[in-house]
Amino acid sequence: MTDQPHRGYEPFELGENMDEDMGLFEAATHAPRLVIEPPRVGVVLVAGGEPDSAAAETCRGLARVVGARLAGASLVETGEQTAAPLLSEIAQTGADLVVTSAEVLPEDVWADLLATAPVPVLLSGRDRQRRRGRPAAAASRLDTILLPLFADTPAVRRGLAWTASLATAAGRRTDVHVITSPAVRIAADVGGLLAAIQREATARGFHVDTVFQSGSQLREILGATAALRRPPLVILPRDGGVGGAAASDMVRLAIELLRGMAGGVLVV
Amino acid sequence: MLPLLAATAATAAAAAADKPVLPMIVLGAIMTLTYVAIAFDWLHKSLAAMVGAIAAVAAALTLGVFKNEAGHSAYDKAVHDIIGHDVGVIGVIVGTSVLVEIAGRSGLFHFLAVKIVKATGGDAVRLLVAIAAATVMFVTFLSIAPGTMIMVSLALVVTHELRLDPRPALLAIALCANSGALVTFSSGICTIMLGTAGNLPYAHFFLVTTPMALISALITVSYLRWYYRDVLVNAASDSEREAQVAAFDEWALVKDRRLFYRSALILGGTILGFASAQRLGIGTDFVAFCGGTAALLLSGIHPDEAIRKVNWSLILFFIGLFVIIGAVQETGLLDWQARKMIELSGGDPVTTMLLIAVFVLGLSGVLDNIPVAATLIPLVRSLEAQGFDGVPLWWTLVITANLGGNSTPIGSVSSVIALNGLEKERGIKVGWGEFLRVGGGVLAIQSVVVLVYLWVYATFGLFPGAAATAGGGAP
Repeated sequence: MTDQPHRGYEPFELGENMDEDMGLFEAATHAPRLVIEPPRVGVVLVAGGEPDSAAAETCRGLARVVGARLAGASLVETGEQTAAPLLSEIAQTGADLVVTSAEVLPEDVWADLLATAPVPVLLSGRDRQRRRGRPAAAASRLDTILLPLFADTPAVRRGLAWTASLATAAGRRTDVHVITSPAVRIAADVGGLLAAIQREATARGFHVDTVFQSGSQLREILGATAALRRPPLVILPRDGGVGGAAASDMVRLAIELLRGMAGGVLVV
Repeated sequence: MLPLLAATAATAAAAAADKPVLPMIVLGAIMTLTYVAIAFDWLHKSLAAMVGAIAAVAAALTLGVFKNEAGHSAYDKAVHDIIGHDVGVIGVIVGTSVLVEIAGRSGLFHFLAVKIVKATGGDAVRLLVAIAAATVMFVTFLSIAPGTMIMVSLALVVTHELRLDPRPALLAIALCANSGALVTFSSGICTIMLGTAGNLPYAHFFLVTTPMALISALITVSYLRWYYRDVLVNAASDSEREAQVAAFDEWALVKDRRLFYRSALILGGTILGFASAQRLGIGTDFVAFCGGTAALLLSGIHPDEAIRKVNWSLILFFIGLFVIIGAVQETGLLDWQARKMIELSGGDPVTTMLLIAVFVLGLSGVLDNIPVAATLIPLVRSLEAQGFDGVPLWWTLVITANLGGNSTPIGSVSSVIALNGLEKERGIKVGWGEFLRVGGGVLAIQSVVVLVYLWVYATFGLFPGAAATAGGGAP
């Protein structure tokens, strides 16, 4: 139905809309029904660099907000600023998540951490608004989440679960922006994931909007990030589930995003 | 209409004593040629209408159809006054197009559609009834093309999943969409045009056309159930089917819940606005523009994206067509036609109404109902000018122009969308023969019911706002 069957005397695009409708209905009838399991997080390792610095306080503030949203998680702080000792700390503490900032660690260290850490890493970008240390500023870093959903892989499903957990907060409203394949293809790709996140959003009280994109997916993530009013937390699958990209592409994308925006990246 | 116009052009001279004959012939010929060019695809319809409009204005000015007056040139009267006269219709179409595009894409109707299908348990007959009912409902709120598209897509996917023959469902959509277009003032472009031209109050639609919409949809479903009784058979056991439809996940259709609620709110507000427009002393075009603007403002969709979906080509077509018809009307040709119609009916209002009904029911099967309506609007205005009560005639046009499209596969946009989708997506071709047996059969029954319905309304004075006597006062 890519051509216009009969635009006739009706004031609407027919072919384009019908393609989208067919894709959506096929997703609704074919998509596997998924239940999102929240991530189990016992220990959050906070790599805050110099303990007395303002940047470290921002990092701790963000970790506290994240810990509060992941019920039962305890925070463990570390002042290590090189990759190898940080990786040892992760192993020693049994951390399930590392929270750090591009402001407190050198780029080669956090880039290494993104590529090699065996657990998810949440890296906040540089805060250009100089609101460091304020609890509201830390919480606001999770008010906007950008979730690319282009394939159904274990890491993408993990990203979905992290999104649902981080987006749920009493007294705040999180907007989750999902970018995905064109609607005609979602049945084959991510229909079940889209349904699951919407169902979860309804149950937990956060908001999800979906944008269907075509073209180069990595570029779209960058474009969508730039287009958002508030800098988002971008959730990326470490296994390269975005458009079949390799894990190294994901790390490169995360680095590129962190260099250019004040939001953050969670690589899962 | 075309032969009538051709005949008119040739013989108008003798009939019209009070107006010069040459302009009638020339402008009648331009109008006829434009329609022929559109009908036979000689030119794109918008281009044909624009070329026709230019020719009509040039001819009208050359032949002195419009005269200069103090501070008001003949050109102003030939173009600006005519467009200004019909700008309300164009305003309603543009405003509702933007609103409907946003509401239709919100996912709300897709979500509801899957819910409705799940409620049937996948049973072939219940599914047919549910699809027909949902089509009427969606077209009521979204108008024909968007409502039909959602339902056609749904029916193609669901019948495939349930291993059912898609033809009954697709034909139910094709035919019931035309019933849905009758329900309210804003349910279809043709209905909007006629409702605006006739100044028909929104609430009166519930008294006149909504019952007819429901009756005609019921006829369609009953006929289809009878005609396709051998194929309306479930392919799977009850439990298998029920499990299959229960697994459909309507949440996969949700793009933005906020847009859901806002669209529903704006759509509801616009409908309320239409309903109260007359009481508030505002035009329906203003209400439509408010709805469209609110949708653009609150949907979060980029305005360019929604606005580019409006078929601007159609708007140009309307402008061209209105200019041609306006110029033709000024020659007195349409008044002459109206007088001929009165002569044919013996001056009886009910007979005139029924004659128009039969004529439009037949014509709408071969011509799109929008040009049919555009041409008949000035004719009814002429009849009104000659003392006829126009109210029953406007309602007659609304009902017959919409349902008339049921008889052929090209008679309405809903049939074209449904049949095209069926062929492209499932490789099933419903030919003219099968469609004529189904759609023609349905329309034959509907026509009898419509004529009786109109007769009863006219005879017993049931048309709201009409003159007390049957069909209004004859000239």
